[in-house]
Amino acid sequence: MAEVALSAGFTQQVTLIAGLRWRLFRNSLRTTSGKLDLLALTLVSALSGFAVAGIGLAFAAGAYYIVAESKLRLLVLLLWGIFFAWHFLPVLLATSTASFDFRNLLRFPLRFSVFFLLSLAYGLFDPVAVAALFWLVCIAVGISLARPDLLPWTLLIFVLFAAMNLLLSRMIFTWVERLLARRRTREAVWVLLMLVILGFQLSGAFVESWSRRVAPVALKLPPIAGFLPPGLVGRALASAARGHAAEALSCATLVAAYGLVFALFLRHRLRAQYLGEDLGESQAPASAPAAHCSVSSSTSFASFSSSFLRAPVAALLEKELRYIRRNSVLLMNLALAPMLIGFFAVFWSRPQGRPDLFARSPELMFPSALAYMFLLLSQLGNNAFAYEGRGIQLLFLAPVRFRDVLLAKNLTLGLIVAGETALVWLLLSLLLGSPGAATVTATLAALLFAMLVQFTTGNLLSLCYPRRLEFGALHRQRAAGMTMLIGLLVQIALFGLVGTILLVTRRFGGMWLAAGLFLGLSAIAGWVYVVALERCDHLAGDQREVLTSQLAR
Amino acid sequence: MTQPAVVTENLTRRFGELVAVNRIDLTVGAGQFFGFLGPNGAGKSTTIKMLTGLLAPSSGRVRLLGLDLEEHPIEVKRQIGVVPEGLALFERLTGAEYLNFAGRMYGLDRSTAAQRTAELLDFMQLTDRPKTLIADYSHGMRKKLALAAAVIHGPRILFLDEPFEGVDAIAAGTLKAMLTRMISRGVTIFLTSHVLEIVERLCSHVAIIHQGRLVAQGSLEELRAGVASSASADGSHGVGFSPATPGERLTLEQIFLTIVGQEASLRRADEELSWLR
Repeated sequence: MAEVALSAGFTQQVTLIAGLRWRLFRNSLRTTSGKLDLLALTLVSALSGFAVAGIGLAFAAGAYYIVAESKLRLLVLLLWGIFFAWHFLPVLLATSTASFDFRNLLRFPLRFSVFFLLSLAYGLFDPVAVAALFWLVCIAVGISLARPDLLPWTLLIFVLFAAMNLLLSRMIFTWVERLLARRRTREAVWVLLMLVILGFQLSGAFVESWSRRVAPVALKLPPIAGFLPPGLVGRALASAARGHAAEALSCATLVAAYGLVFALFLRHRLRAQYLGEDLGESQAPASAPAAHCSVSSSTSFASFSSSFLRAPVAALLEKELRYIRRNSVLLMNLALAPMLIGFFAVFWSRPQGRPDLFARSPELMFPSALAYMFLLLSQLGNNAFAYEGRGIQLLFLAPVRFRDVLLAKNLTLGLIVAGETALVWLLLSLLLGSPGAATVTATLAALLFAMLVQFTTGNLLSLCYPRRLEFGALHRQRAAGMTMLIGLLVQIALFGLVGTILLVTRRFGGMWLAAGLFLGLSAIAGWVYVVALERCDHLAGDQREVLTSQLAR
Repeated sequence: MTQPAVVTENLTRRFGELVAVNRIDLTVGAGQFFGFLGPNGAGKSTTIKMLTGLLAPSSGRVRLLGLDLEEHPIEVKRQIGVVPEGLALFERLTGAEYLNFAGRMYGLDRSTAAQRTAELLDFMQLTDRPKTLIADYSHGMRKKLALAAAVIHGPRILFLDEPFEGVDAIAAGTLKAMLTRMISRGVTIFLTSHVLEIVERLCSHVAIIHQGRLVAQGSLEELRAGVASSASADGSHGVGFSPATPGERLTLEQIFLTIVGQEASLRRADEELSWLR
């Protein structure tokens, strides 16, 4: 009689999965595109590594100075920096992590402990987490060089702090993913977010009007912050430095307690996933009354797009807007730029919060804000087919030239950029005062030039290095390595060129000269765009196998 | 004389060393219900992808309705409908949105696309859950929707890659009803399927591909006659099925197994995989 297979143990399962990942990685190098991907990722990592190393050096020097000068209370500032970087940067850089969905492994008899560990492991290998850990090591080195006797305490407390941060980051992602997955909770999150923004803006006025009443509350904030993880870690190290071991230990225990609480919340979420939770949109009941199935095509935008565009382009544009509306993570990315710009504008609009630079030159804010917005939005065009899935086949089967498909995608992104530009201008004009006509013209011309360059390179990258992204997923998303590398180089080149022109024209002729130059460059970029768009038609034909195999998996 | 709907000349596709489709010469007459058969990995899907422009041939030519696919891709695509292997669905649209989108991609104006969308959804019995995204559709619903999208512009040739795979009897009935209606109106249907009974019942002409080569082509009667004559020539009746008696009609399955061979079916499971319970 056949024997029933025994289920594999914890270590064996972890080893098997690590082996699987290694094999997947090795097999991915069989193709030229896989090798290019690795090469590009290595280069991007090296470029980012310089920035991370530079910040690490500053952290180490800062920690050394703080401990050597016995100003240990300042250490908490460095720890808050790392804390914010660990939990906020991944939201801003949601397209840079691994793309393997380990939930696929759940069809095997996988232990929950292994599933939990895998989740943590993926959090640990997140680029931001790696950078944050490196900075923690730098701070530890700085402290130890100044006070070698603090090394054991530093190690103990930092290990707890790192573990707590890892658990917190995973907890945030799993819960946010859960909340954004369903329409009702997603809408609740959006409403909450808007209320927070509105509340912040109102609080600015409130603080100014009622500063006397609010002041005592504000003064209580630092002690409260002292009981939050970074504050506790700072206090633990300060206590250890003074030789108060019991106090240091109690602070370390509280950090561990935070970690435990986060672990419990994370466990709750992962347990639901482990048991087969479906994060898809909830279905309408089968018994729902049969409604007429005409599409809501009589909207004003639909009529508008149809009257100006060819039928397929208009259809594609509407489809793109529908996809964006249904992709909560993408929506969040789109909303991020105006939200952050609005946040800072409110901060700078308050007399006590306005740095001198912007106080003297409010016109600097408009170009800076648009540059920041371009930085965030432009990446979306580099992997334009990311969410098409098997639908990409229809784009090849339909009697439509691929230049029209790309044109519709460029139009969509262009409309979003135009809308957000108007919003940013409105926000800044209301809060900081309207920038001059020359500044506005030069900035818009520069943006036009940058967008045309971005469209051209983005179209080529989208066709040559497509990468499927999971719709609405917050994590496990990364564009192809070559896309990231070339996209980064294009941005560096664009910022270098625009910056140089602004510097030179400021000396010789002012912003109107810059505007003229940018308009000239835009005309050239526009011509290149049209030529490239025509070539993309042929390129798409050559790349159809790559596109369908990558996207229609 | 009527123009053939599909003609291929020396159609070949290589993937590195592997020759997936090897110098195929295929002719499908206009208005035929054509079954394209072959065992797994024989090259059926690769061929259908080349016929519909989803895959470039390594060599050879494809002519649809007299037009060269490589030279006139847009004109050809306007006249064909395709249900490919992956179904080509945009999963984050509702069924109605997707059909409307497909119609307009094929050049229909907004109102015509909306009208045909409503009619097709009704015919395919997909009107129950108008707000449900395709991502939440069952497999059968997806197949029906993919077929609806493939016919929304009224194509003259319809290519179907495994349309009945994983479809229940009710959905299969709906699909067959639509296909029969189209054939009666002169549309050419090119279909691949593993369900030989359906092919036998629906198709008038069949071609069989094996290891990338076309090994048989013709009407069902021609294939029967070919198999019977080769069997009588070498004194056999094919392997694994009862000897044909005079007057007995060979089934498509028998024809297929005779032409393709059936080594796999001869393996005796009781001598292998002894650990299976």
